[in-house]
Amino acid sequence: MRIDADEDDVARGLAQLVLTLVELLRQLMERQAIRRVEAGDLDDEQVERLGRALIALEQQMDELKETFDFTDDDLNLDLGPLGRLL
Amino acid sequence: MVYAYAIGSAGLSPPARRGLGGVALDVVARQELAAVYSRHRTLRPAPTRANVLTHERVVEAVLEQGPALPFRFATRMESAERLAAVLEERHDELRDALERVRGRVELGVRVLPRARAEDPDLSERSSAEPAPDRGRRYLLARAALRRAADRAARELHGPLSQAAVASVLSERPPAPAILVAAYLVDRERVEPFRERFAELAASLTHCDAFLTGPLPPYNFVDSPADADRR
Repeated sequence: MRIDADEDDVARGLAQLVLTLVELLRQLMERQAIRRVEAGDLDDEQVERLGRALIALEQQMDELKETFDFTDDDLNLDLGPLGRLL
Repeated sequence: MVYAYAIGSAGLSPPARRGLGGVALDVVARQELAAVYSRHRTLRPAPTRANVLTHERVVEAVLEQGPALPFRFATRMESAERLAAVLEERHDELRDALERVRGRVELGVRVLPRARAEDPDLSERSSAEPAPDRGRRYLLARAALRRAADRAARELHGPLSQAAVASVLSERPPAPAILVAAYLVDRERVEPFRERFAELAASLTHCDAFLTGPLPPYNFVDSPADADRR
């Protein structure tokens, strides 16, 4: 296989990988938060704090995606036989 | 370099239309397989509507001649020889994949929430004083969307996947969709599938469902170009 990469491609690829992992963690946190809210594990103040943290995280991800010009589909990894990461 | 559109069976003729950049199409064949491509000095195709449509029309033209395995948009290889090598290296696997989609098409379903759950995040970005419970409302809205998606999967996707040869449910549908799925259906079963969809969609009370297609089976082939990225 021939690798045909310039510096910009490498930097963009690295940003893509990092953002994919951050997005994975964000989604896991959101799912976990929803589960805990639905199970009634949290008091009102904890729910509010968690919700705000997730809003802030989502906004920051949106800004980073815009900065690097990534779509949601770009922030995924094809794990071959295991399917897609997200 | 060459831009690859689709793989079909040997004996495929170059479709009588132009590829990206108005370039003529050509075919390379190996054993039982053939691939349609166009040759370019350099090409970095942007995913514009015109470019995506050009790609799609070429794939459809290949589909008119028989089964087709579409390449992902923007698949490029260094030469037609490299494309031919992919046909050789993955010959049996690609031939089997081609057989799997022979006489079959893809139908797509997209489900949107009927009354969009409140999104305090979006609605309050411009307000000077965000609501004191915006965090809670955000989480509750997310939970509601997740429940709606689970219900649509149960009430619509479940029965539809029974009516299809194969199905793929998107793990992460792009907002505002709560469910996006693709179904591989025998050509002659398309009408009964549509009827089944209409019946199920009419009984959904919490969301609206839309059916698209028939399309080339994009969601039921591993992109042959992946071989080149290994």
